[in-house]
Amino acid sequence: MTADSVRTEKDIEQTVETYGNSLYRLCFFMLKNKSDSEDAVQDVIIKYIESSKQFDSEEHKKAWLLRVANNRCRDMLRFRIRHTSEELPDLADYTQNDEDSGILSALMKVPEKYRSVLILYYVEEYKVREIAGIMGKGESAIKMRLKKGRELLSDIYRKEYL
Amino acid sequence: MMDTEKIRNAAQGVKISDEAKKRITENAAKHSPKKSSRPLIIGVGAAAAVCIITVSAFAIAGKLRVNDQVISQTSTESSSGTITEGFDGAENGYGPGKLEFSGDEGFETSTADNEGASGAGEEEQESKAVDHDTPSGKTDPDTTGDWQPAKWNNIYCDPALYKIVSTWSGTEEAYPVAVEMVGVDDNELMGFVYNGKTVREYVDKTEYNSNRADDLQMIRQYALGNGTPLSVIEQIDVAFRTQYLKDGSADEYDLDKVESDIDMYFNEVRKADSEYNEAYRAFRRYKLNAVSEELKDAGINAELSDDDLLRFITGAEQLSKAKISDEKNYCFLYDQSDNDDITMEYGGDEEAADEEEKIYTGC
Repeated sequence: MTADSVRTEKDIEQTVETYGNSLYRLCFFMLKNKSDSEDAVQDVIIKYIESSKQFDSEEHKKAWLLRVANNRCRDMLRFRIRHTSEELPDLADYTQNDEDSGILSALMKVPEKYRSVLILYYVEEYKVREIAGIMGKGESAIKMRLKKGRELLSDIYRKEYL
Repeated sequence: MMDTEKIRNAAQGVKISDEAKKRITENAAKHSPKKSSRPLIIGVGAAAAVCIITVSAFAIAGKLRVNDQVISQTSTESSSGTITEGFDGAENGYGPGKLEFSGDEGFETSTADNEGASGAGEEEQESKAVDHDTPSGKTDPDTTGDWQPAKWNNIYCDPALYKIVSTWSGTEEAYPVAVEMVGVDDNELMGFVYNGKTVREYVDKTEYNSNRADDLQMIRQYALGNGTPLSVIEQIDVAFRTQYLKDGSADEYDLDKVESDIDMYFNEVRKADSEYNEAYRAFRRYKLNAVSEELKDAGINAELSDDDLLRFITGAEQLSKAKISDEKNYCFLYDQSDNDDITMEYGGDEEAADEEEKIYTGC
């Protein structure tokens, strides 16, 4: 493994192709905005290009990318606290039916700290321990967030969309 | 509870457009790759590369930010798709200080008991059931993510060192080795006393302030009508949130006060994090000093460096005699560690990276 390895264009393209959806999904659910999410994904890919990190496996690479994405979104959210008002995005592009739309809308209303954990667990199918690694939190913190996040999601969905 | 499949199916409809992919690829490719000023550590690189995943199972045990209660971190949750129902994190009884550390006065082990540390219940039991000595001689991969330190004699080695030591036998060669702490006994860490307070107290302080800041951000979003529903606000402690209501109002929040207190709580989080990091570092060094003593029994004189690694030069014969207690919490590395590049792991949050690096230094 060498430090000065350079990402080839093919590698970059494959990375975007392979992980673009996962990265975008995490960013979208955190940032609730298409263009910001695309910007965030782009930042992650740039970070990937700039990093000389070598990966043991594709899973390792994915986890690293998600971690960088998570950090990037947190930075953007921190900035947003002062600078923008948040509105729920138009989810019609992403859903086939009212039920899916309701679930996604409810998910968007779950506070961010629970939302990202829910996405990584239910959608990306990471284990608790792996999420803890990606998010830089303890396993029990992740379990607690999963539990509470699920309750909030159910609660919001039941009250607002059923 | 909502059906897992439904959540998954609904969320998987969220995809990035082909146009966006193309744009991102093109824009990103314009970025000329920059060589790292610090080459990756040889051998240790594998450890550093996955440190954020691996260590999470062990070393960040102290950094609990659980919303309501704090629980043991030693579980090995691995199921996918479901969460244990009834999980309630009922742990709040860590002992008042099993270990003492008194700053300049050096290290000392207290005799105070730690009975309160057993409240992790099933999770603790589950953790104990993990067999780290698998037939292959490697650590159970389920406990370490995708990076697997290999067990050689009585110690765990990173892949680079393992490769060397496994062919070392019978030679006179000596190599630089470093020992890093990759795991932690949660109970021991939480009971560790630094500057008169247990780590548990530092963690609780961070958690408290972090939760208050989070709560206030939710109140702010709710007050601005930005999508946070009342049902979320209702989960916030009543006594806390009502102090932000405008006089005489049942549902109108004083945004100025909310915003100034968000800043205040974030500042408190930063302070508390910093204190916690100091305490955790003291714990690491305390434990590594103990390992250093154990290595002396094998004739190895190791030095504890500023970056919290034990360093020494040794040959296979000598190293094979090393026996350390709770060996799974320590990883022996082939030491080329002037060039660790771990900050790259942390992406856009440089400040956080600095803080985290204090915790993960050397990994």
